[in-house]
Amino acid sequence: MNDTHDDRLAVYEIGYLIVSSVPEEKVAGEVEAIKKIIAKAGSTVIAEEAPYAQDLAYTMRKKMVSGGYEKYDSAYFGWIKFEVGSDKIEALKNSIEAHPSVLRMLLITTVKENTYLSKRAPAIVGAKVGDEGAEEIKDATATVSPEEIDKSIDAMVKEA
Amino acid sequence: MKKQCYFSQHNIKYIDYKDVDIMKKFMNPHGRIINRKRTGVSAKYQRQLATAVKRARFMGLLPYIVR
Repeated sequence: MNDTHDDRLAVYEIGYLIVSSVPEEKVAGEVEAIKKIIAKAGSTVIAEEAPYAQDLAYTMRKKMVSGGYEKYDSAYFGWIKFEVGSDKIEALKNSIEAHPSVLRMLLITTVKENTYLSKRAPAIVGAKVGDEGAEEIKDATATVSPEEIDKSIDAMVKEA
Repeated sequence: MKKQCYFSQHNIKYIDYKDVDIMKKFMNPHGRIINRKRTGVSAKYQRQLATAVKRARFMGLLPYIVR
């Protein structure tokens, strides 16, 4: 009976922590690796946030290949929201969890709309988002002429 | 007068586990979720809040306990 629902598209979000032992300049490469795994499953990315360094609320441990544990007090936190068939999500989750630089990951079902309201922390990669915002601000100032600014200042002075 | 639910008031439909600042408003200094009888949050959003807090704790964005 479940077979009929298995190939349905659903919106998922993966939040991940990349170990702090990865140098900042190499974090982008790790994100690309995660994205490749997601793209391999034939998914379409809806939204994402590039990882940023984050102090963890408690110390986390990650099992090393040699058998011991490594402790982490900080990590790079990022997330990706995407749409994929529900039959592929299990394999996708397992492959991201098995990624050596992923400290922890959380897979949740979510909605297409933006649910994240807070201001975003400055990202290490994905500087494009900030650049676009800067261009928009420039455009806004370009449309206002200096005479109009003078007029509005005069009006404010009169009111005072 | 009865308190209005914060999330209904602010038109927040979904509580995201990444919205740490919002969730902190509903936690006491020990890191515990405050009873909805004290905060006035509706049952629907209190359930969403609890899920979001637990997810944030797992990801290390919020503490499980503050001593």
